[in-house]
Amino acid sequence: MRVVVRVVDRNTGAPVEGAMVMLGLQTATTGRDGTAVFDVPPGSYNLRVGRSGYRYEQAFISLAMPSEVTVSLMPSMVIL
Amino acid sequence: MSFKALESVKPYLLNVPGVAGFGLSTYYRGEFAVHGSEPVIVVYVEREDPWILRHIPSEVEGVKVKTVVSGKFKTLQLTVLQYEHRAKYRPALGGTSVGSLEVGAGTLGCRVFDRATGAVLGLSNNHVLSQNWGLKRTAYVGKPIVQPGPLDGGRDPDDRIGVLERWVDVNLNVENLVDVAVFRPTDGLSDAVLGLVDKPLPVVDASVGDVVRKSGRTTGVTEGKVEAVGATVSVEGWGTAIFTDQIITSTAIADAGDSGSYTVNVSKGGTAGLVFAGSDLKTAICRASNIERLLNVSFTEVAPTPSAWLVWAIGGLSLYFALRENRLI
Repeated sequence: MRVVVRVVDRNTGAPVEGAMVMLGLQTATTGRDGTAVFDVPPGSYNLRVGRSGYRYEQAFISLAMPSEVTVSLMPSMVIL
Repeated sequence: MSFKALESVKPYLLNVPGVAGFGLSTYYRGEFAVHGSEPVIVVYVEREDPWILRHIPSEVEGVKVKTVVSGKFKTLQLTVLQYEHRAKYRPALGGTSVGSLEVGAGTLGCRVFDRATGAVLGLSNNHVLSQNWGLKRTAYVGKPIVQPGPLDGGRDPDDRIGVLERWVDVNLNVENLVDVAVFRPTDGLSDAVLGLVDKPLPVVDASVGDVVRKSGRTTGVTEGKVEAVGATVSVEGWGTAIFTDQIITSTAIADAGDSGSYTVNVSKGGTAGLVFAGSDLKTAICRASNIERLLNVSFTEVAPTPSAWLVWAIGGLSLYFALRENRLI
């Protein structure tokens, strides 16, 4: 079953390239269009997404059919 | 192949709280690396916390991952030499090193006017001047402010330029709009911002695509383009605070020590705001209109509000009659 994870910037809506996406135990990196594609059986998964400069996000999701999941990342910064 | 695996997992690991670092090494047996064996990705964690360990993959693209408890690494943050912005100035001016005695150094943004009294005040970030930020609560009216900041040799009382006047708290469990504070100068304050403007400009609202330029203690005068307005960002300081209604640049235009940098909107010819946070990718700027409203200050000269005049007038008259009654005048 094909699952597309689309990662976008929360503020601009722009695709986030180079984000590391973990769906269960599988990992993939988003391309220029902000997507990472997985092939997994139906079930419940821990979805984790991280990229330098953004706050790490995770969620538990149930997948019963081929799906597209969008994850909005919030920029993460430090005081200067 | 192992380098490729490391590169692919790097963006993820950088965002896992508690990961102190990572790299490639040879195979581990127990706690010892066995040189000449197959490579592994070593992930250093700050502490042996089940939550952190659960977020470390056991394998990446066929390369095994070894987790090592290392504690927290400390980095040398201030490396760029911009002597001009770190020197001592009298009167003090915007774009130069400043701080309370509790910080290394930040940037004196600019002078502003108190809307209530018309008095001149010095503007920078809360975390530079007052430190009522998240878990840290050490602000008090009268706190000494030195120029340059302590990291650049500023000492109290020799380099004192003023005392803390007021600030806007930064809280961890609510949405914050600004990271700002003002001090009352005791030794004058210049209108100028070093390398940027002769005096602060009227406030303008930023739009996506506008060019903004700042003057800061660490990286001097730099500019970038506005990527987002009304933005929400997560900021690490003394705890993690959420800030809304921020201006974000599409590239990083500031570094550690640039906090408080006065920022001009070059495209519209006005004040954009104050730099306060950033990452390797972007810089966050507090909106000037929020600063004016929440601190009750103005970037341009203002007449004191009627209530302030009234207080002064009543005070003056009271003093006059008291002196007359006692035949002192």
